[in-house]
Parts: sequence; C-alpha cells; structure tokens
Amino acid sequence: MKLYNITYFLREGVTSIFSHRLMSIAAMSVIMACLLLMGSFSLVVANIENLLGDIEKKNQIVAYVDENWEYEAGNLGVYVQETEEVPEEVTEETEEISEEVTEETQEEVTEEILEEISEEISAGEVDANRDETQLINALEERIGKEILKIQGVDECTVTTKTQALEEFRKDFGEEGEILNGIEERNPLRHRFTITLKDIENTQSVADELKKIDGIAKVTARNDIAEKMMEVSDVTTLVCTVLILILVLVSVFIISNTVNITMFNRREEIAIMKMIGATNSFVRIPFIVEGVLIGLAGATFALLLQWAIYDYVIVEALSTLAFISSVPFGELVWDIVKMFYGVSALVGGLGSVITLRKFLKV
Amino acid sequence: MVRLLDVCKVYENGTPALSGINLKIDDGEFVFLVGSSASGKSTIVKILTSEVRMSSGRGMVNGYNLNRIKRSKVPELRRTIGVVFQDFRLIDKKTIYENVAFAMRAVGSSPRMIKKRVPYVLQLVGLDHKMNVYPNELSGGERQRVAVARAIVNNPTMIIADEPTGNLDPKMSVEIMSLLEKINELGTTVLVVTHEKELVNMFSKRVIAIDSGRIISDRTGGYYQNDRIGGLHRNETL
Ligand SMILES: Nc1ncnc2c1ncn2[C@@H]1O[C@H](COP(=O)(O)OP(=O)(O)OP(=O)(O)O)[C@@H](O)[C@H]1O
Ligand SMILES: [Mg+2]
Repeated sequence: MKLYNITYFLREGVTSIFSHRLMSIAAMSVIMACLLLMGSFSLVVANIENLLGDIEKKNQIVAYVDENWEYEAGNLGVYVQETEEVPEEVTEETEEISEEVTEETQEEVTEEILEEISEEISAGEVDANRDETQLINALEERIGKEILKIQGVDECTVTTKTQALEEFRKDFGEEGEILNGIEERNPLRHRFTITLKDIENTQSVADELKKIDGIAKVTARNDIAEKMMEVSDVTTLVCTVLILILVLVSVFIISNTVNITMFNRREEIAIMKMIGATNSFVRIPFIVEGVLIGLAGATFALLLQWAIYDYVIVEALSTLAFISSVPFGELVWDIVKMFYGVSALVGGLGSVITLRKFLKV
Repeated sequence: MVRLLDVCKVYENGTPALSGINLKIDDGEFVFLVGSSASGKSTIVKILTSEVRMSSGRGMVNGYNLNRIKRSKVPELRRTIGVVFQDFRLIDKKTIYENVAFAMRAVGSSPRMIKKRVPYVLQLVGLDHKMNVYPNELSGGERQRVAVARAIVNNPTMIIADEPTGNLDPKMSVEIMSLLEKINELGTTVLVVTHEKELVNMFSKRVIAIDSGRIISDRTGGYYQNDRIGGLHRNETL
C-alpha cells in the first residue's frame, strides 16, 4: 500500500471521529470501561497468583513429635554407628574387624560424651547447648531421615521445643517475660517443618508422615491455598461474564458510531463506488475509524489503570499485612499488549459488522 | 464499446424494465438514448455500469463481459466509464478542486498526478477560476460541469450522462451538451440519456429511441420524434 493512501485513510478516520464527537466519546468510554475491568481483573489475578506462589513456597507441613518420644544415650550411639560409613560389600572376615572398629569408635564416643558431660557440669550454659545439639542430631537421625524418604518431600527442618519456645518468646516481644517460668515444663513439642515439592502432594505426604514412629500430630495448611483458588475461580467467572458483556457492548457501540459515519458519507460512498473505487478503499477509512476509537480508549484506559492500580489495588492489598503486591511496572507490558490488542480487535470488529451490512454492490 | 444482445431485465419486485434490447455502440461514437419516463433508459445505464445485473441476454462493455464479471472486477469496469447524473452528486463539503481530486484519489492516483491533472480538467470544463469554491456557490450548469470534469478526470473510454440537463435551463443545457460533444471529439465515447426533444434535435447525432423496454428506433443524423414509430426508419444495430 502506498504511503499517500495510508495518510489518506488515517486523515479520513480521524476526521470522522471528530465529526461526531459525542458518539466517539461514548464508544471510547465503553471500551475504556471494558478494558479497565479486564485490566483490574487480570492485575488482581496476577496478584493472587503471586500470592499462591508464595503460599506454595511457604506451603509447609508441620509434624509434631510425640511428647513421650525420648532419646537415650543408646540412640545417640546408634546414630554415630550408622553415620560411620560401612561399605556394603564386606566379607565376613572384614566384618568382624569392622565391628571391632566400630565398637572402639563407640567407646571413644561414649568416652567423649562422658568427658563432655563432666565438662558441662562445670560449664553451665554450654551444657544445655550440648544437650540441644545431641537432641537435634537424634531427631534428624531417627525421624528426619524417615521424613525425607517420603515421596514429594523437598526439605525438612527440625525445631526443638526449646527453640520453639524461644520463637514464641520473640513473638511476644516485650511481654515475653510472662513466659519466664514456663521453661521448667515446656508445653511445646519438637516439630519438623516439611517443605513440599508440589502443593498437590500435601495430603499424601501428611498421611505418610502420620505413619512414622514418633510423630504425634500433622498439620497441613493446604486449606488457605484452596480457599484462595476458590475465590479466584468465582472472580474469574464473574469477570469473564462482565468482560464478555462489555466487549459486546463495545463492539455494538463502535458499530453504531461507524454506522453514523457511513450514513453521513453515504453520498461519498456512492460516488466512490460509481467512480470505481475498490471495496477495500471504501472500507478502510471506516475500519481505521473503529480501530482508532479503540486505541484511543485503550490509551486512556491504560493511564487510568495505572492510577487505579497504584492508588487502589496496592493500597487495599497492603492493608492485609501478609499480602505483597506485584508492582505495576512488572505487569505493564502485558497490560499494554492486552489493551491495545483487545481494543484494536473490538474496534475493527465493530466497523466490519457495520460494513458487512452495507457496501454490498 | 457497448454490445447488448437480447437483454431483458425484470426487477426483483417483478417490474419488467427491459425486454430484448439489442444495442451496439462503438468507440468514439456520440449517442443519444431517448424515451419517455419509465421506458427503461436508466436501467440500461445501470446494466452497463454493472449496478444491476441483466435477467437474461448477453452484454459486453469496454472489454468486460457483463455476464461473467466478478464482483471484484466491477471497480475496474467502472474506471473505464465516467458517469454524470441529473442531480450532479457532488460532495457539498468539499471544494470543486477537492471533488474532482477525490475521484482520482478513490482510484489510487498519487498526489503528484492529482495536482497535475485536476487543474487541467477543470480548465477543460471552464471552471479553473473557481477551483476553491464550494458546490452550493455555483450555478446548476457550473455544477454539472464539475460533474463532467469528475467523470473525465480518470480518463475513461466512455462517458455516460443520465439526463445531465434535467435540472438545467435550456441555455445551460446546450452548454453541457456542447461540452460533452467537445469531450467526444477528444476521443471519448459519449452516451447521453435524455427526453428533451429540442436539445437532441439541435445536435445531429445517432439517436436511439426506447419505449416500454424496447428499442423502437435507432437512426443517425435525424430528428427524434416521439409520436409515430411508423415514420421512423429503424436500423439493425447488431
Ligand atoms: N430498483 C428498481 N426496482 C424495481 N423497479 C424498478 C427499479 N428501478 C426502476 N424500476 C422500474 O423499471 C422501469 C424502468 O425504469 P427506469 O428508471 O429505467 O426508467 P427511465 O427510462 O430511466 O425513466 P425516467 O426518464 O423517469 O428516468 C420503471 O417501471 C421503474 O418503475
Ligand atoms: Mg431515468
């Protein structure tokens, strides 16, 4: 297509828009409303998805260790023995030797522990820390290893009840002192925090966890994610219906606007056709008009969307402390593509519908 | 160039407009098509421009087969024909220059060609001094001259004027006919539809008379008489 034709089409399109300003403004407004709804909806969805992603990351199962579970020195011994890597293919002859070796090691370790204990008696705090480390080791060895064997488990970290109480105290902040006497009979339990590879596995992993010896209680917080998904499903449905209606209204109004132009220009059109203008030459200015109205609506919608997003959505979300919103800049290109794409399509479609009714000859 | 062979037209509502029209117009001819109201003159024009399709018969215009022409080729056919109407059909909000330029733009001419050709054509019809005037500031005769300028601006091989003088007083009518004659002398085929006896008789041209959708007379250089068929000699045209 020649450049002078393109400038002609654009000029004609713009002239028509200005020749019936009110109708054009009405059409732009409806497109704008449609896009704003579409944009706000997808921005909210983007935020929900972002949030779900967070939850998915945070989606953890907490397994509490039975209060009656206790580790004895023997347990620790087993632990040390097992970590000593014994090659599997050992001949019976070497096995005896290795047993001796391990017994020795065990003795050494026991001696070490005894030494440590005596040191601890004199060293106060260090004493407690030693206990704690041993406890952690034992927990990891006896329960943690089992947990990691479960399909779908990504990581698992252990928190002893002392650590848990410490966290608790932090949460209480200045009022932490009300917990002061409680160490004696710490009501909390040791717990394992299990991170899943995939949120889908929550239930099966929880079931497996319950079977492990020493695990008393399992809590999964899958319900939050499910609630969020339910909410977003409903919003999706409502918004889709609304958007569809608005798209139809936009197409209808643009179609009417172009119809007015065609009526105003019916003589010109007749003359053009009589002279031998091709159908596309006659039609393109009207399509340009529809598309331009759409694009203008999209531009206003984009600016408004930005403002709305920064001042409304972000504000609203920030009142819910646990929600972090996605900055507009991260989403702007998707919004730009969506707005201009949809508006051009709606504008073009509106024109084409009108054009199909006329210009048959 | 026009060839119509046994062309009939019955409109969709059942009105018969043409029955068995045989017509042959060669390049360079000047032809009057005369007949009373509702005799089918405009229907012939519309068939020639492919605005309506004939019900039966065969037709050929400027090398385009009217029976087989595709919708997409109709604009091409129309570019070979310049049409002038009784009601001028100018665009009121465009100047004279723009009205003529518009016709060139509509067929995709470049701005440079338009700038060159429009003043030349307006000069040909004697309106080069009123290029920037709007149609409603012109007399009927002047408006029709603009319409003629627009009809010839794209260099058609044929001009069809459907009652070009219907809205004009006798003096202006003669002016327009003379203009069309001049254009014919420059090599363009001209077909003028009219029912103005006196005007036809002032020019010694081929006259085709039509009545109730049939050609009742076709003779060159004679007078057009509306009364008796018997007094006229009928040429075989095909
Ligand atoms: N679009 C149409 N639909 C139905 N009938 C039509 C249509 N156009 C014309 N006719 C009929 O066809 C017949 C011929 O009409 P046409 O316009 O060709 O006459 P005409 O010779 O041009 O008359 P006039 O001198 O008044 O312009 C008339 O009876 C008219 O009523
Ligand atoms: Mg007529």
